[in-house]
Amino acid sequence: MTKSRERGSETRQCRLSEDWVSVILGLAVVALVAILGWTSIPWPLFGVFG
Amino acid sequence: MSAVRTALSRHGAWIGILFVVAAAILIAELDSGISAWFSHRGIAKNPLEYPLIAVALGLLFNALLRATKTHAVLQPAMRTELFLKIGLVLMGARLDITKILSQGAGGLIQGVIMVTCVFLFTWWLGTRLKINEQLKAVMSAAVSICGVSAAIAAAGAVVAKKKEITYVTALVIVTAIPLMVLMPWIATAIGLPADVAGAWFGGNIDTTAAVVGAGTLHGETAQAVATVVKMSQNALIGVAAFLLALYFVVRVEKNPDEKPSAAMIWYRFPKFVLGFVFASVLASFGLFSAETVAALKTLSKWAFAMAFFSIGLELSIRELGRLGWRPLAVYGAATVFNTALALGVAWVVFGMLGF
Repeated sequence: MTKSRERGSETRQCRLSEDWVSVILGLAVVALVAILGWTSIPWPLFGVFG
Repeated sequence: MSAVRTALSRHGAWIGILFVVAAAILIAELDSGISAWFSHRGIAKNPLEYPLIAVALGLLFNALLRATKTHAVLQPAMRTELFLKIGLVLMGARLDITKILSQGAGGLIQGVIMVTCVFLFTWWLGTRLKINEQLKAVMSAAVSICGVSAAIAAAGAVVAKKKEITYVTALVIVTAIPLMVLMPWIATAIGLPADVAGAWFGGNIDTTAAVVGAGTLHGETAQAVATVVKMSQNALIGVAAFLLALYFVVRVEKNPDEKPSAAMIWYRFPKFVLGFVFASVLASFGLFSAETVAALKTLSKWAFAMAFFSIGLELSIRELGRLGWRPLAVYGAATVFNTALALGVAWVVFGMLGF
């Protein structure tokens, strides 16, 4: 029972940190593009999608 | 060959990340090439959009990696949910908050109806077919709320075994891929309005990645509505996890020391929703130029391409072979019930009531 509880706790920790990582990374990219501007990022492949 | 395997086992995660990024570049190039091919033949909209290409490519590399016994080494980089959540935060920057609130209200109404009915139906059927309490809880949460994320949240709440999570995750992925392709096709064939179609995808398909994929295959309006509906449903993860934890503590495990609290709901709340809403608020204040919004839209597609590719990469035939018929029957029946109910509820909420 103790082991399964520990596994459950690890699962929650993993999901929790993944959620915050996605928020931080996502908003950092939004800020980067908004502040620096799109054309200043020199990667031609970015234009492929859409 | 052994030298390659040694290098992979040492730097598997980083090589895996480079591998997924390289795959996304390949998907983008294929998407561009296929779109141009159709365009030259007078077909403006590419019927083989990038989610489908990404999943197919993921399945192909899945087979190759398993054949060369390098699949497990690269597994740390197969972060479907993480890529997806980053893509959704980026997507928030191109959605007006007033639109989100109006669609979110409809999404929340639909979400509450769907989650309640589908959860109770799956739970009832699981009890009838004598599935154990933990697997029943994880499966009911996955099929009624949002697939893998809900399964993981529910598993934490009821302290399910790892094999039970794997079992349900395999079912979620296997079911999501055909639904992602078939539902947009059916929606177009029966002439569903774009917002009703989006609400149907969002209310029925279990993984958020496949919901966005189905929406993308149908069109931009359906994609936006599907995402908002799915995110409204996702927001119920915390409530469902709290209620499951409460039920298991009070009824199943009967542990008087564990008292559920409001902090538990916050602890389990999907935090990426906050990033999505924050980016939407910034966009609603007009902080982003049209060029920036277009750029963020493209970047969100890169994140989604990596998520869809990871779905294909993660699929395990061996896990599917271990599935017994009872949970399979429950999941299948619950999916059929979910599909029919979601169509009816989406039609009423988004079609008739006009949310």
